[in-house]
Amino acid sequence: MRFVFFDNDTRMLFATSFDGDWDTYIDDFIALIPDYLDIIDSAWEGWPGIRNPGAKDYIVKHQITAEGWFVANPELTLAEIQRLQRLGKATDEFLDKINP
Amino acid sequence: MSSVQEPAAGELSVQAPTLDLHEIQATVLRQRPAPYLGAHMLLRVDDARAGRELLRRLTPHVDSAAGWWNAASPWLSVAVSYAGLEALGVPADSLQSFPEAFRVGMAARARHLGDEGLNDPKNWRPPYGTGEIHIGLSAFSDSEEKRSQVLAMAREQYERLPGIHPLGMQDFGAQPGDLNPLGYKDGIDQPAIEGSGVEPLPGQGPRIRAGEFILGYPGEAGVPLPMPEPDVLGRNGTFVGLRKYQSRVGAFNRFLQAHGSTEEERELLAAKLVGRWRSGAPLTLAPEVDDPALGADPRRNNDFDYANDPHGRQAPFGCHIRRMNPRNSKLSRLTDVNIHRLIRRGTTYGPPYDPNALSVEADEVPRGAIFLFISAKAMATLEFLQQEWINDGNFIGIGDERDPIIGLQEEGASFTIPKEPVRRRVHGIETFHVLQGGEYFFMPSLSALRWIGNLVETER
Repeated sequence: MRFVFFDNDTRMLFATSFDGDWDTYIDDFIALIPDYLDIIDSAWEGWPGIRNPGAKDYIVKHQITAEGWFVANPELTLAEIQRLQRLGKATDEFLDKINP
Repeated sequence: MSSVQEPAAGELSVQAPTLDLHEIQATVLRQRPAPYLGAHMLLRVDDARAGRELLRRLTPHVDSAAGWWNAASPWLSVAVSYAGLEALGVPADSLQSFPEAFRVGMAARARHLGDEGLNDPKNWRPPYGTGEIHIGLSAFSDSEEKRSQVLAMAREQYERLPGIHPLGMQDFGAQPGDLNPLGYKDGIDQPAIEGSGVEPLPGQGPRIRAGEFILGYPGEAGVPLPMPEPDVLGRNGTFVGLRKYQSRVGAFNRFLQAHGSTEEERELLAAKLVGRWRSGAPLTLAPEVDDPALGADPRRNNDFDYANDPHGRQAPFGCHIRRMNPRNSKLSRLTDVNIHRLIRRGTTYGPPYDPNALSVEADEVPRGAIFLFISAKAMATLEFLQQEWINDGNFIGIGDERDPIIGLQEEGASFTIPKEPVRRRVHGIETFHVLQGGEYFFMPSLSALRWIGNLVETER
């Protein structure tokens, strides 16, 4: 997730990447951290507030499709990477034990 | 709200409800009786006037949720698909106010639901997927006699009414011991709904705000979800995702046979797949052996969370109940479990589970369950569950494994059972439930049913 001010601090870019469906990603944010989102988004012109049913429409309306998007490992989700890290640690532990 | 009756079941403690129970259809809040018997009737409306006449006739017989905890009298619910709302002559601006997924129907949302391969709508049994299902009636009762009564009453309203075409009737009924088609006690864990008037059972979790399940009330975010227009049509209504599954009992038994050499091993494997023993006793409370008394006790059989099972050594991460309600499991991304719950009304059909059925033919014996999944955003929730919690394992850190009971398995699929010192991975899990059809419905309030029934032609 990143927040970038530009045009002499009059505009803000909010970019985020996630695994899964757009709607539920936003829904879970609205349910769990609405106030953080409203602090960040409150300066947006016309922002209806995160609890407003029109909030998603606002986001969609201002959303810009990326011209390019590079993913080094398109098959690996964040959760998969974390799982492989755990697996790697466990494998090392196992190898250390059989050959200390 | 002052006329609520005394609770029928001793364990339910009633408080003052804040929902407009007289408006909400009983099926939304009322659980199946035990045992339960009934039928789903699917109808097509060929003539809008006849359709509205039918609704006017049916509405006085549709039970409201007032006194919903009392399931001793038989009751009927009425749900209408988008094609049905069109066929009934609901005005265009009102039709446009319904969510996109509802408007196109369940078959057209197959990609969003992961309904492919065996579950592809092109393999569905008619009338599912034909676009002809307009009205769905569901009758529930607790005895054969009451079942006949309520069905006779429903049929009296639509039979011999020109312009109404019955597409099919599916009888359903509880199996002995209230077991599902794979031999498990089911229907245990339901979301607790704020303002519905009943103290949640232990373990039902925090009450979830009513707007998640019924239109017109604040949801978990504090505001009501978007509602179809006009207000009289949307308020106190809800959406229903109906899904009809065929249980492949032979495949299920063959899987248990192939991976368990004794009865004890097979039953433990069966429990690991679901997260509960067949008695209903949760693995979290009975990790080693079944405890039928625990399974039968509604005050104890759901009273647990996963705080003491962070590695899934009791209830595997991928088991059915941990997927469908992860409770306080650590999930791989920010998730509010409360906004992904559904009220479910499972109804089983066909012969009871046969532990000795091993043949391929046994997979084809008509036997399974029709589920009504109810929520103010049933389409979005069902699609989320299908994509993320049923046909994937990423959310709970187990790669691409799928739900062992209702998932659509790919060739070479596996099921992982965390264990000390090393996990056991069971290979060759098959699809045990094949989708034979489904549809999205709107379940209107009683006022909305009257509003539709009294629409006049000029309003179009």
